[in-house]
Amino acid sequence: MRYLKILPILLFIFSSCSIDDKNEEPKHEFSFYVNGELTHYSFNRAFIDGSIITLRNNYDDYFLKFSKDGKLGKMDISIFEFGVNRPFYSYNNFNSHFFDFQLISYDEVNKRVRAQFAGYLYNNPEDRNSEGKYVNGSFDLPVETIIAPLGELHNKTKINGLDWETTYHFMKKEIPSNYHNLTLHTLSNDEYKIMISFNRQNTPLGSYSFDENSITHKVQLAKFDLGTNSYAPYNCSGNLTITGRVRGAIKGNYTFTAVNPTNPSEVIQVTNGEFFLDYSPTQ
Amino acid sequence: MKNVFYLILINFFLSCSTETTEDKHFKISVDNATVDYLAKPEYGIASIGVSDIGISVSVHLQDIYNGYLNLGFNREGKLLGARLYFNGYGDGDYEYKNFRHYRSNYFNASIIKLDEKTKTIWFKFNGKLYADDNNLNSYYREVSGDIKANYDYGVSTNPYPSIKINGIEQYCRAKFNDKNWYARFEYESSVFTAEDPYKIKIHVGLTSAPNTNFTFENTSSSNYVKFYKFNTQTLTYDEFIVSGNMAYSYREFHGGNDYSHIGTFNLTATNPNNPSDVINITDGVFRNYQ
Repeated sequence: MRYLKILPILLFIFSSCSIDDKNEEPKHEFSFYVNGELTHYSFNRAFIDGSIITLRNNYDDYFLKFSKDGKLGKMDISIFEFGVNRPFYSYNNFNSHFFDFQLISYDEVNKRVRAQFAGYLYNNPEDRNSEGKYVNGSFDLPVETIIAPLGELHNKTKINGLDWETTYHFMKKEIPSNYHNLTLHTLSNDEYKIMISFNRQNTPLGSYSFDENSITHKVQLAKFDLGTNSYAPYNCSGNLTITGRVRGAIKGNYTFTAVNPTNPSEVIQVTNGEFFLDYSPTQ
Repeated sequence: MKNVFYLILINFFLSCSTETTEDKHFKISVDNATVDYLAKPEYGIASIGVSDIGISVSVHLQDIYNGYLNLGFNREGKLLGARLYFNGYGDGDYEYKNFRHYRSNYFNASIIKLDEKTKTIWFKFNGKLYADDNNLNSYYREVSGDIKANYDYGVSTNPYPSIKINGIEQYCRAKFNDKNWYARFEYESSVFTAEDPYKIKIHVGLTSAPNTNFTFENTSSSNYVKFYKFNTQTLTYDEFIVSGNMAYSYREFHGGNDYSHIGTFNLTATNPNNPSDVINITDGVFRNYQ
């Protein structure tokens, strides 16, 4: 009879040994509404690469990109209507002013992320007068470190001593017919944009001094003007050092001074710039 | 009732104290990302194989970028080759490979335990894979593995590595101070290397007759065998002082001035930076293409 008394304890030990919780799928919650209607969009995990978190289905089809400190990079969706898939995007510029993205938590140890969002997406990401869709939603997802062909793409710098890091970038040929002179436009969720120009074919490793008259091998700061809905480029002079080239990507560092051309007393110091960026997507 | 108690107790120990899946793991890391394939079988292919001549590891990385990592080692755990690649990304494929020279010096691996009865292995490795496998300063990815798992066993049908140039089988084998050596790689025609620091270059003169014994030394320009050792300080090959003899028994014409030769060689090679470093190379056989 005394054995019966310890039977529940033994059964507990036995059962706790036999539980195999390794293959249980981690908890995941995701909801996404367009114009108030729940959509079919669903994600069971997020991916992190460096400091950028993405919700995506494959390498070039991502739904959402943001930094682990909560700065929105871009939202990009496709809605099937009128017999075709129609794209809608978050506004490219100064998006924290136009879209409400709130990172509730990012748990680096347990690898989980929670966030909610609401705002308009536009058919043309550069035009807030283009057709828009109101979206909102939230998610609570496990996070997995991604293994990408190019690891931890980034552009980090200090703008007047404050940390700044891109959350979204694209490549643009400044003159469409010129295949080689490229500019990488790097944006965060604030009013600043940093543009890095180089020649795809002829940019050997080394240092380049530049000023406002330089055509390439330069870095430039622009500030978004809410009044004109456009970027005002600053006159920039400084130094760009290219430290590495790998197919489709470039690595380097920079420091420069940016002067507002319409107000020369406004001087911005951009220091400790360090980047590794690929040339895609194009715009 | 006593029997019930003992039954539960035995059951408990059987389920908890014998070898469990926790003892095994198949962890692969690329830079900061680590995947344990035994804990997450949904990640797909992850296998380790052991044969009479070496160890191979093959994994499929995440689906998002369709990445693969393949590595091969000899039975002592020296790297033979490693390749990380991503298919169909953007405007093409991305590929990273081990440094091509003296590769075993630039990649770490250790066989902690190999049990041929239970066909289990505990194997670890780590090293850098480069965008340009001829340049240690090129962009690289760091890979590592800690594998304690069952392996597949295979027997190689060909004990020698296969090297081909223009579809023609190549080989270069010899004894270095009585120890077997055979080439695994031929990045330039008629220049042979293996996982170790040594390199052999063979040349046969265009008008040289077959079945003739040719003697050679460093200054020979027609029929010769040159011997080099990779210098990890200068990252170049030091050319040894050589003297020896060579011959070829057969050659095949491939158009223009291109021939492949089947021949033999013997030589003594002395390190110019260390005269006590002497390597006697005997029983050399080759088929080259030049």
